[in-house]
Amino acid sequence: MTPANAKIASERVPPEHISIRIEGSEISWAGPHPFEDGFSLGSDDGMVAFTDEKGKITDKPQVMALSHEAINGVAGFDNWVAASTRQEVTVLTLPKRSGDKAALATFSQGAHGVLASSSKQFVAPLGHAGLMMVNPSEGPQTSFCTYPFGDGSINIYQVQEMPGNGTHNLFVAACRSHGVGLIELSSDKQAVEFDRCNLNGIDVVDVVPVGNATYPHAVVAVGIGGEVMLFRDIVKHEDPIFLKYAQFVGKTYRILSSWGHLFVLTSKAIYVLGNVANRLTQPSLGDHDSPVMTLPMAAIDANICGNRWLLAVMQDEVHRYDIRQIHDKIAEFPASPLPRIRLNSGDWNGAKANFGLLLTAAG
Amino acid sequence: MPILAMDEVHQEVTRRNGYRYQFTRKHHGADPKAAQWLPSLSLADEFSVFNLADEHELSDEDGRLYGILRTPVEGVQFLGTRDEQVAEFPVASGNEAWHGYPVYPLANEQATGRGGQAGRPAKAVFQKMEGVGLLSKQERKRLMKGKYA
Repeated sequence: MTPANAKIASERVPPEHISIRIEGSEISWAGPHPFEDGFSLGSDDGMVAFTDEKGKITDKPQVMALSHEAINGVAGFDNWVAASTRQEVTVLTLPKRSGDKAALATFSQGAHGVLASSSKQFVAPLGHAGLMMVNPSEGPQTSFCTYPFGDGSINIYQVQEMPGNGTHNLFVAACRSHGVGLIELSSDKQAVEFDRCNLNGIDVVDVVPVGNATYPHAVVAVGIGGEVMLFRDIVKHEDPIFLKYAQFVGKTYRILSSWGHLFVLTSKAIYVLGNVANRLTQPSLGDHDSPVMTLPMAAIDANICGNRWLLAVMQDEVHRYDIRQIHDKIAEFPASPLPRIRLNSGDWNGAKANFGLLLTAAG
Repeated sequence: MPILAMDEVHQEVTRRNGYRYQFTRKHHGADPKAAQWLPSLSLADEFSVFNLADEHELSDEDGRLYGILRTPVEGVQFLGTRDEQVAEFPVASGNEAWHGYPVYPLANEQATGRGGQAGRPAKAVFQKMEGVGLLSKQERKRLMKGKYA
């Protein structure tokens, strides 16, 4: 190796990470702390723990899933925390005064995850059972609605919220073989509209909003085979731009975004697609090269926290990466033109959200 | 495959216990509310999932067997029309042949019967699959939280 090559090699040292563990439990999920800087960790046996940004546990881990199934999502607002598993969605009402007891409401319906919406409700993708909305309350009962789509034929696998218009919440969904869904929910929760973009032959497994003030409804979706689909304005049904990276290896699990970059998690690696999200929110993607950083790993899941940390859930621990460091390093990685491909996909269909099934669970 | 016009008992039996297996109309197109095997999956592949489940005794505490299908390149395959990757085989009664169906990854209290979306294999089943080398730890942990592997 020449001195020049040696320098290049040393400059491509992957970013550093720290390891985070829960003593005595295996971590199944990691994401942002719902109330402050730090992280939420879910375990294989239904526990949830909260940590600071260094991964030090700040609150004693507690059982959130009475089934003791693996946690696959945690979210919170005000004094409520929700956790999801393949068996149930649980909402914990935290005591307002010390000495009071916390109340736990369990909905016996498995979910692929849970998020807290801007209108203070929990939203959980239920697969073919549709979408669950939970409105927590201070009283003894917590109500929830489920919305199946397309007579249960449509798989709501992942959901993310986009900016709404004040009277409506707007969500984008990964609907597997049914493409990308757009769900509009009126603020009184009485009306649900559902549109979806068919992407024939692509199994859409995750979506991430990447909008800015100019393009608030920019979204990126990813297929299980590594297909990356860029929607500059999904609300206006603009045709997606398709990218296919030859270097992707493994089944694709997730797509995330931070600092203008995209992060694609596969079963073999995390690929950081330099500046692609930023470029989508410009009038044109342009033809200039884009670097790709590859972080080989066999992660279970991944998440972005606080626009600062990338958490990769490994088999026995979580690896925390500093996105600022990734941002600083990515220009050192090989760059190439965006690998655009043409596909005959992208037509839109409406589908009916059948009904809202209102049920309550005792707190 | 195949939409079946009638239930068919397979000619082969399982290697370990000699169980007979039948392909059922219900899970091959006759009942759209029931779990459906992927039309692209051959009957031989369906039987191989059952055979492997029996060979490794991949059972829950009630004796139901569970199986997967994997290929060296693509790993764990999808088996059902609702993105299922695990199949469930309830214990056959009397002298009947066994049968099976893809089992949904999430529990659904509204669904009736285990043949719909109500299955959700026990954690112990996935641990057995990992123990005999059918799943990696990464795959086992993904399936245990309702995700695909």
